[in-house]
Amino acid sequence: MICPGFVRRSWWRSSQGARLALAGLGVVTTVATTGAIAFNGVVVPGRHGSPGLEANLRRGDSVEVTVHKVSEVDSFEGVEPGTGLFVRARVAGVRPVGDCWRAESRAAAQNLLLGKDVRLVMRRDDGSGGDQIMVDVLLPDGEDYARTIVHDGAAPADPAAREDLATVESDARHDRRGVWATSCDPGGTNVTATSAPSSSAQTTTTTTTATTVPAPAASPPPRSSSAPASTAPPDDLWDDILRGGRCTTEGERRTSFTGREMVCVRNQKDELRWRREK
Amino acid sequence: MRSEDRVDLFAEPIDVEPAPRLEDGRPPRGLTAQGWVRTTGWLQVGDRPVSSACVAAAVGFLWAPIVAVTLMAAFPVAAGILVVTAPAVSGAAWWFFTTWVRPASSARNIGLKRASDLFAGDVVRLYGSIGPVGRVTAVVRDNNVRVDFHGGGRQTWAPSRVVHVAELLS
Repeated sequence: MICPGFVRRSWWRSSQGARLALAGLGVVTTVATTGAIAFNGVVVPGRHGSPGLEANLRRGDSVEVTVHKVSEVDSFEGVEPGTGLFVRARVAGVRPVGDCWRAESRAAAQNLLLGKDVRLVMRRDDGSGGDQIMVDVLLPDGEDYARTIVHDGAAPADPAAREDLATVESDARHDRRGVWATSCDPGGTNVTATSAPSSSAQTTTTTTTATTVPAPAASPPPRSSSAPASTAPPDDLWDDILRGGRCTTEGERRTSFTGREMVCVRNQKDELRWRREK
Repeated sequence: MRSEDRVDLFAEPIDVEPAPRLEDGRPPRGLTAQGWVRTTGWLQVGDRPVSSACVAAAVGFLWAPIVAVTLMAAFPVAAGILVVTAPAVSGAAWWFFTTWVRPASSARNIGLKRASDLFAGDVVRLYGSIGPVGRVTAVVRDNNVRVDFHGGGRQTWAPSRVVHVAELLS
């Protein structure tokens, strides 16, 4: 005759309700275990030495991450929501701006990236040897981040990484958008006087003024020295402002071509846009 | 050799304690050499037993996400495949195990009886509402009830003890 152990006999003798209760307990335990494993995998932002996405990705792979810190216009940190893996990324094709425009440049990057779910397309042609991965970034609306940031003049392009951005930067320079509307040298650390109107092509090196809003260019932007200098911004810039174009610093004020006061405010999509001041 | 009254003394003995059979006369899949029947399944909705393969599939549905989470970073494709296939694989593996490795019959409980009311021929659960099944071959009522089962097994129960009468399905 069969001689079962205590556990088996107890299981057989249990009521169906007890068995269902035990099964329910198993389900709860399983869910709790899953949750524990999942959340233990989340790396605390900024924690170094943790295994990151870079170990698992190859060139051309893409992954969606939520950006939680933007340190520079070309570098940020994020976490992949599905796995909780931490990633430090550097954007291909964008160069950081010098000190004179760094705050505005970073603000523009934060406006586009911070808290957003962006898609990273891996590059393995970095060669920097750092712990950052070189990526192309697609914004939630599908736009290319590097192209957007260079187009807006928030940062100069790095043609060595992305040749296609050279023409975008050229257009931004020509249209005097962002940093190109100032006398700031994007690659340097000094600035020219931003508010001193001058019709001369000769630049005067001084320390930056207390003005937080870069005034329209007083001298030609780099590599555009042949362009006529003017104290007034080009019409298309004002048009951009009037159309509700993107701005970089919340609270920044300007007077439109028609004399209307404009202010840079955050809209419902959490984007900074020019609006008429009420 | 035949005796005068034509009894064949060398013939195969008549099985006075027939083993448990299915309704169609076939031996149940879970019939063991000891005479009791191994059964599968521990859940019954009304008079319909829930297949243990389904329970195994549900278990697979539960453990797969746990493993998938741990595999996600290194093997994302395998993790996805695992989540989809684990329930089916778990159910199929359990079915294979209970059919070929350790054959077990499905059975359903069809009623309750006091031990004192049992008769030879009843098929009852040996330990509770699920688990192995045996066919009663003899019942001796005393202070307690001594129940003999096909294969030589014996249980002694209090007369008031309630046992589950079962029907073998496979």
